[in-house]
Amino acid sequence: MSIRVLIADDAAFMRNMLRKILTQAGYEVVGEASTGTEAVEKYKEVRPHVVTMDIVMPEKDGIEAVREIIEFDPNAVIIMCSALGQQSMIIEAIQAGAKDYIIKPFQPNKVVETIKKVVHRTS
Amino acid sequence: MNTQKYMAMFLEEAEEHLQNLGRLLVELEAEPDRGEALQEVFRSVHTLKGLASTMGLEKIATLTHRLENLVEEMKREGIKQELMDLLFEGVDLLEEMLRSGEVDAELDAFLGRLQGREAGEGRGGRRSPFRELISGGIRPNYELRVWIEEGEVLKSVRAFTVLKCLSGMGYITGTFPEPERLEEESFDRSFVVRLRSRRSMQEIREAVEGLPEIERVEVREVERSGERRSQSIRVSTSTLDALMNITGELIINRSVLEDIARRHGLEELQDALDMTRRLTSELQFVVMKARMVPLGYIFSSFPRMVREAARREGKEVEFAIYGGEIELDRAVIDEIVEPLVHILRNAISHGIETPEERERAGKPRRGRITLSAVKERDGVVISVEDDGRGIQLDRVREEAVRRGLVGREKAEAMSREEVLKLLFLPGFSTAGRVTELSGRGVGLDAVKGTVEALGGHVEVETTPGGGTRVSLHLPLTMAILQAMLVRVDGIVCGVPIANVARVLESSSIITLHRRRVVRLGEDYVPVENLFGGNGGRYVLVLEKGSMRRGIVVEEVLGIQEVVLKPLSGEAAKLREFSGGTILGNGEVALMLDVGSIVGLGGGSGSAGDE
Repeated sequence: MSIRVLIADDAAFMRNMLRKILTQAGYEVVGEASTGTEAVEKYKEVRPHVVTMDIVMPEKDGIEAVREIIEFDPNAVIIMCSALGQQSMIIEAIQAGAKDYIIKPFQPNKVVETIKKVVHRTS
Repeated sequence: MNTQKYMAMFLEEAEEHLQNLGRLLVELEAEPDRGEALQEVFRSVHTLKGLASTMGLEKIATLTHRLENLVEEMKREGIKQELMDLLFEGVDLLEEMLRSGEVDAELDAFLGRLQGREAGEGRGGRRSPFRELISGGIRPNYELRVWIEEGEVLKSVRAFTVLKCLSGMGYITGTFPEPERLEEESFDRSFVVRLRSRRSMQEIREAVEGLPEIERVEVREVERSGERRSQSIRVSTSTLDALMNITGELIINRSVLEDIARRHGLEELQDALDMTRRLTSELQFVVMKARMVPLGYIFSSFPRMVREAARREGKEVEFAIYGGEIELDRAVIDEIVEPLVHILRNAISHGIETPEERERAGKPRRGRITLSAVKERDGVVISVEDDGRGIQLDRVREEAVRRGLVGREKAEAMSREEVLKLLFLPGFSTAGRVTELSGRGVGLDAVKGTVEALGGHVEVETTPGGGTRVSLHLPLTMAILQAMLVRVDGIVCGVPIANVARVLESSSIITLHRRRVVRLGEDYVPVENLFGGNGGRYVLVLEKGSMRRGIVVEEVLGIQEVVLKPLSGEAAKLREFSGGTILGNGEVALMLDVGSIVGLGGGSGSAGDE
């Protein structure tokens, strides 16, 4: 059974790019969200194995979305997507329960390796 | 009520409680999950409080009351480094009050800090999320060194995920560099984490290796001092010294026997002596090992010294120690105490700013000083790092000019490294004012002298406004070197065996261009009489780098491992000598400074080019 991923990012371009990277690596993208609120809703609906979560999103930011998802499912596997210079926000997200992070601009091999390691560790 | 008789009884009982507290706190540190121990701590403190107020000892009553609150907080919130430290400090203070009584200022400072804590709960605002993962006050059983892959752009976040992962497997008791340093990314690629965990070494390693972008993890077990203690007995240092000396003499004696066997061609004796040689080297090794002392032995007195010094200077200092388990020869340990005290005092009085100054500079009120020992492949590095104001290079330049150590123009042209070197010149001081603490005693020049005599070197790094680090780089085999002992003009001298190229009969001296030389292969090596004396049976050819020089000696006494000590007073000014040593028979030998001898007279090592 393939790993099911939910992508949360407000930029369609980023979502497409991640979708491409993940699909090529054999993951199944089961949903996309463009706001934090939507990410939480989608999570409850599709129950993915992994969420890639952008930090800066409208309505509700990624960190708040992490908090709500973890509250709903303490075992949720969430990986933050962040640009450089957002160290303290990633740390905050990890404190809130995110498992790891990937850095924009995305390097496909790093994205895949991180997801693989995190999934392996948490399964 | 407050009569002599009751007082004596009170003191006796209080003493018992104090001892009990000391023991309990150490136990608690080792086994933080022991709820009963904490309860017992509470009872002891509570009883002390009751006794003190009955006796009308208000100050003690106040202090014990505050300590009681701390224990309560610990029961509520678990064992935290901060609380444990405060408790240890409080019990220390209590002990001093009962013994000498005169600790008013210290008591006020301590109570003030507790009050400030209760009021502000960690004033200075945000607490580092890294720091939050540390449950100090606990004795670790593992030490990990983690290397982050090269090219990882967010090293601090990666370090955070490592800490986060480990905190889920036990208690993180500390990191090196400090958590705040990890947060601000002031580390190269690796850092150390100390952990207390019930998991196996394998599990811990695999967990960290399972994180993205981790290159390598090393886990080692940290010995628990309690276990070590039960396997050891106390031996007086004089016994160890005697053992060392006897071993030395035994080795000299062995070489006398070997000499006899060789001269008379006694093969049977030679064979027997081979065995003796093995046994004596083994003996020597064991004796050396017995002389090794963990650095913690001297480090343990520093927290109190630092606290005292900081209090007197009106500074707030957090002091951390790493690497106390690393062992060094006792002779070396004895030598570095004074330099370390000096460096620590410097850090407190010149490095760390006053709390107000720090606040103005946007730093936490409390300064931080870290004393750490790290074992490297070829030595031990002991460093003292502070987050104070750093060394102001301009002031160093000015001071050097003012003292006539260097001309103004030259000073201005000096590079950063050169300016820092000025600090090591004899009698140098940049203190704006001479303080009670650092205005006397050894200077950095003495620190340098001591460390160099031990075969090491000193490095200073500084960031204006960011802090200073002074590192003592000490070689592992430090101070203990194989030396050839010779007699020159009646003086017993030692030469590091590594610098002895050849021993020749003095009959091989020839005169070439009115210079006395010996031939060594294709080269002619100039020969000197070191102290102007005339003659001797042998020529010792010394070598350092590409330089060679022969010295005439009367007698070759043998080879011995010696412990090098720095010279003091007039002797320290003689550049022919790098230090002194005490021999197996109690005699003193001077160690020749090969570097300056082969450089003497300026000639090159090869005199044969004509």
